[in-house]
Amino acid sequence: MRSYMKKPVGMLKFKKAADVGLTYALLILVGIIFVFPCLWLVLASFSKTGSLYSFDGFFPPDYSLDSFKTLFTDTAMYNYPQWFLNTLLVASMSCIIGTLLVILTAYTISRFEFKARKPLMKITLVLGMFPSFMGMTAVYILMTQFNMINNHWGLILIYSAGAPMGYLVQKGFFDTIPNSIYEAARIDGATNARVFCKITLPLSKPIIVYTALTSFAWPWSDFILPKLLLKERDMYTTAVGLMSLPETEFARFAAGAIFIAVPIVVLYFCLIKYMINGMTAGAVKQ
Amino acid sequence: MENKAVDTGSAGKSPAVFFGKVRDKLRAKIRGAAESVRTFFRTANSNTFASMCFMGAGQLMYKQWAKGLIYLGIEVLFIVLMALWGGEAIYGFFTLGLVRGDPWTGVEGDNSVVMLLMGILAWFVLIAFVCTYFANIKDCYRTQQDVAAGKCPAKFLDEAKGLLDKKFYKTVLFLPVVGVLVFNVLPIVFMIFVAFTDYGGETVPPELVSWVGLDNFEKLVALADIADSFFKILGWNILWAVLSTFINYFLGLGLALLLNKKCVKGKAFWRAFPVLAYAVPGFITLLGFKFMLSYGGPINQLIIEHGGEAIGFLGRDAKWMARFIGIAVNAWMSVPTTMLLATGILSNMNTDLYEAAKIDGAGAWKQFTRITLPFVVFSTTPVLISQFISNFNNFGIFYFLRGGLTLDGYFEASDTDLLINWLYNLSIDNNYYSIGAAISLVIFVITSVISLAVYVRSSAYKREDMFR
Amino acid sequence: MANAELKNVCKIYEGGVKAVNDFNLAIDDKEFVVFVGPSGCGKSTTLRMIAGLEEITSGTLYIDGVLMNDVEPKDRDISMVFQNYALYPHMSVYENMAFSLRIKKLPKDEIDRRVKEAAEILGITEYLDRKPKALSGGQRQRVALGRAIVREPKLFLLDEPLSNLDAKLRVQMRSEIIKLHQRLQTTFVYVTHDQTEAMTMGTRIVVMKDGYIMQVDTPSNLYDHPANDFVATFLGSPQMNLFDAVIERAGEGLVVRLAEFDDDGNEIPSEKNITLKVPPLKAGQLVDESYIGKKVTFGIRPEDIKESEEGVDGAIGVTAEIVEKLGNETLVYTHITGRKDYAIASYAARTPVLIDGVSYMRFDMDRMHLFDAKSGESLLRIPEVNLLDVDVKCEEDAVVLSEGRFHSEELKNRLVMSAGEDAKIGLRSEGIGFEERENALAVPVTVDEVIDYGAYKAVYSHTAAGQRVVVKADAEALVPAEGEATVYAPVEAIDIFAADGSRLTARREFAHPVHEDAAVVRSGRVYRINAVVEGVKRSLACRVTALDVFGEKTLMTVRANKSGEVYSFAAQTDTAYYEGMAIYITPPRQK
Repeated sequence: MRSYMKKPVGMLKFKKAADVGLTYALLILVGIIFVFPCLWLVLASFSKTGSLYSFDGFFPPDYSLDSFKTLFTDTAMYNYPQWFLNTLLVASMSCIIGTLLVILTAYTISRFEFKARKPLMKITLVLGMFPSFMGMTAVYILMTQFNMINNHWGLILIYSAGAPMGYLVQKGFFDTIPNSIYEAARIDGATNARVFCKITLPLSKPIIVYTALTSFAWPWSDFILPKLLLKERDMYTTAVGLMSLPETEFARFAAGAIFIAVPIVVLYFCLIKYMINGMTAGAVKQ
Repeated sequence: MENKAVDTGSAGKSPAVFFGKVRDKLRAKIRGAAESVRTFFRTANSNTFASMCFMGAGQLMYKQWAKGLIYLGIEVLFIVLMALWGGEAIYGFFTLGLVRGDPWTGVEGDNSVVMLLMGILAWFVLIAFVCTYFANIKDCYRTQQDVAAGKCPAKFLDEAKGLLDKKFYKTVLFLPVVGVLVFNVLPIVFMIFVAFTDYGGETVPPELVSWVGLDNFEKLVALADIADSFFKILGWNILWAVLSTFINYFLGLGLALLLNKKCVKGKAFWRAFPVLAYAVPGFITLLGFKFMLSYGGPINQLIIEHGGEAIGFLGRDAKWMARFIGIAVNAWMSVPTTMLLATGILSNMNTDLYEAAKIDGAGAWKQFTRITLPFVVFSTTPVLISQFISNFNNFGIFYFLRGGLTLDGYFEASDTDLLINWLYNLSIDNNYYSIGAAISLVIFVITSVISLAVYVRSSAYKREDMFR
Repeated sequence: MANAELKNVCKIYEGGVKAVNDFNLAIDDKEFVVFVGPSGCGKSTTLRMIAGLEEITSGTLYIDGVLMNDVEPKDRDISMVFQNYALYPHMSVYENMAFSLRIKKLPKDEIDRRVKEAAEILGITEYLDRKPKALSGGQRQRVALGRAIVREPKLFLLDEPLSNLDAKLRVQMRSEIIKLHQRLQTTFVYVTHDQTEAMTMGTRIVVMKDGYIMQVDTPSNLYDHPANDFVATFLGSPQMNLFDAVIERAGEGLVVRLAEFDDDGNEIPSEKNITLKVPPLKAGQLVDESYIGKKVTFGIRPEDIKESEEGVDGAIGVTAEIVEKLGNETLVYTHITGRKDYAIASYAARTPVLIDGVSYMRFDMDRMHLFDAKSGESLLRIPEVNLLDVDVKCEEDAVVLSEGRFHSEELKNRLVMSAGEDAKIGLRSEGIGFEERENALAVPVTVDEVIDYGAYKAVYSHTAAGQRVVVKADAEALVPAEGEATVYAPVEAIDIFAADGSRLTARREFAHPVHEDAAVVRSGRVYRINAVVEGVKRSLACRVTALDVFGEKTLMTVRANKSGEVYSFAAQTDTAYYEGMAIYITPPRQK
């Protein structure tokens, strides 16, 4: 403490200013690092020429909307509009069904005490430790048996059925609703079904939004499963479709990528509050 | 009463003590179970015994018509199912097909793989039936106790209503559990079994597949090519997982702290940049980076312009460079997540601690290591574990960055491939299913042992509740 | 408008933790019963069992004579107010209060009427449209009360409703709740850990500790006549002073000598002896003469210590160390000269006190307390049983008392073990009285003293042979004043005791012969007795009809469901047993 007082006031001010300056410099650097690749892709999508090699370093020589045009019009080989619609279908249906299942599961495990509860939680934890890839072959064979190959509903089925496995975050949220509210409702005479609909759901808006968003975004950008199950070009989702583009069509790839990235990015930004809420609900112990 | 010399909080949790406790608990449980069984057999009455012979008989004797008929129906259904399909399926499970199909002679052979799958499904049905059988006995026994205590046997309508109310959880969990069983458990069980067959390579239907016991695992460790690759890839995988998890975690934490500083105005604005990176779908950014770093890509173009030679960032010889790039790109993609997580946690922190520390004379670094770090790590240990696991199994990063590159000295893999990439190469591209399955099992054992070990020691588990 | 009765209620959690043990209480209509005790004593658990939120492990709960063990909370016609209000955050105040009524499908105008009326009573009418987060703590608590009122229940249950409020608000809400009770004229059951709340609000208080009931009585009886040292120190602030002491005889009466003991219980001789005279009334109340000469605990409340001077009879020299002037009283923390003991005294407000010098104080011995040094039980309590040395003879089919003056077959039937030559009889203080009745043992006595406890009276008398008889009578019962009288003891109130004080008769009828040392085995919810019983080959389903606790052993009488045969067993006492429980008789395996 004494040594501090010995330093002249000007020195303290300088230290503080340097600190602030350094902070902002770092922030700007971080910002650039994170934005640059995205920016590059955006610029690339506006490139006139299709190929990567004709670029002047990072920047395309000429700009035009051609790539976007060809993306939607040249559907002979790469039927982008169809892919987009496919992805929309799969993502929205998985979102609806998956959210419903996950919310119900998480609520039930959070609220009710029953004999199978602990074992169920432990088994789910252990199951989650298996590499996701492991079951792919089996899923493929299973789907062949059910005739669900090359069928979007096969994808939707798998995404939805697997959704309840990730119930921990939602459960963390439901754990924060005090038990006494449920007890008061019980004394008031509400059945469990009514309690869920009239009391839990209205209070769970943040976590429902988070769940819907994450279960929508996942199929949107997943490629392993669609690659495995979809065989026809026209049935592809955008993820698989874009991956099938060769390097010569880089601009088209960039355009397609940007086009599907934009909705997700916009959604994330609008709902950023819910995202943080959801992440910390599962991870932070109250 | 011994005095343990080293007495930190975790001394009592040494492995010997821990397993000793587990063993004692197990013994007590077994004793309790034996006692219950003994009591059951001494006190069960004729109705309950009837239920043991014919499902539902006891319930019918207690005049619970609907319930009794349902249980009886299930038993009949099961017998029919087993006779028509199940018995054969389980037999097929053990033999994995006896007749090899031959397109030339028109003989339709057995498809071993499908038989395995169906066999497993049949086992599931069998297990489900056994559970229902025991549920039937328990139910009859409980009714017996109720009658002994003077109550009437429960009516069916009341029990049905109970499903919507007291037993709500049963109704709700039924569908998710079935879904998970069929689409998650079944595939995993299937693959575990495949690891003990010779399915793969040339032995695919219509060839007959057979059981080979631990052959695949032996191959993994003993057969020159495969074993060699296995250990190399395993080593790199562990190194990768540890490095990337810690780097992501601390970079994210650092970023969160940076953004949290009092002097930063417009926090939401600065936060938007990482969130942008996080929001763009993974494969897009990965492919983008791949193109960026390719031979004809922009970075190399700039280097050539300035008179240098093109660098093969992700080329065949770029072992450590490629690995480093992998870690960097992974950080780029994952740090926003940990940053957001840390931000949320930091907002829950007790700022009084910092003021007390300042008065005590602690500088910024000390405050970080003694106050911030313990709190954040303590709060997020479970998340750390799941991040470790997902990094360990991060398929996409090297799949996209280096494609299906294979190098000499590796059996169908490259020097940056993780176990899971190797798995993919073997299974999908080359049909070595059984070895792939064996590798999957190894991955599972490693990840589960590590995470269980850390998890059990973490305070979240010690309080015997997860995340609460 | 209801009464409730809890009989032998126990709550045992998985893993064997006994939260509530053998809780017996009868709550009358319109009473305001308070459960009070330190944290973890089981008061909230008991309340929740009454509400139906916790399952009753064993024992029975009756509300208005109807068995309620398995009835859902919503069907018990009760209301509950929670400590943290438990208001539905997303609903308005009106909706919060109307929620239960809507479920019951009451007509809209009825709901409206009730809600508005309750809001009127509680003064929250202007907040009906607000959401809970826009209200202060006190307002939220009122809404919680309102939610409970609109249901118009038989029983109001309140679980520490004022604990989350600040001190001033707490005092205000306390009187509001009392007014509410008077207005609604309904039975209230209230849980708190604050003894001030308990003392000011309850008509009857149940003091609990570690799952057991310590005492049930009116506030004033609990304060003036605590049944044990826990209740004595729990109620009253600052708490009662307790000293180690020995009771000794001094001439005709008794004295209490404050003494010091070492860890083994041996007295450390001291030069400075402080001997206090015991008033004759208190001496007469000493429950058992065997305490004379033994170590006991002597208690005196701070407000019963008065200032004194040197030389006054009973004055004790002390040094005052800390003085707290509280405005309405002055607390003095003193150190008794020459001893290790400390005493806290409460003097009137502006008493001058000398610090660090020698001053004197004396105890008001009319308000002294004595407790057993080990168990903490009060030694001045009304004894449960009066042991009398009366001639007891067991003949073939009857017991003859007092040289033929009293025959009883019933008593013989209740005799479990044979009575020796020097057997005594015990008369239960609650069962005997002064009204003449048939078939009762008449004991001529001389009445010494009548103490009025408000809800009941205690009559101290002695027989011609000098044996003491205490009668506990209802408040309205006619009791004679001092002088000659006769105590009538009906057979139900008579028990036979051995010379060493152990009971020989059962309180209820039982079956001969008694199967000794039966082992009761429990697994899950099923109980079975491992005993050899004639005619029982495999297992016999029975129900427990009577339980009679003899200390460590319990006499269990069971009745077979099918045949109606009655059997009796002597088994280890366990509070988990209750009347009416199902049990099987299983013979042990033949070896």
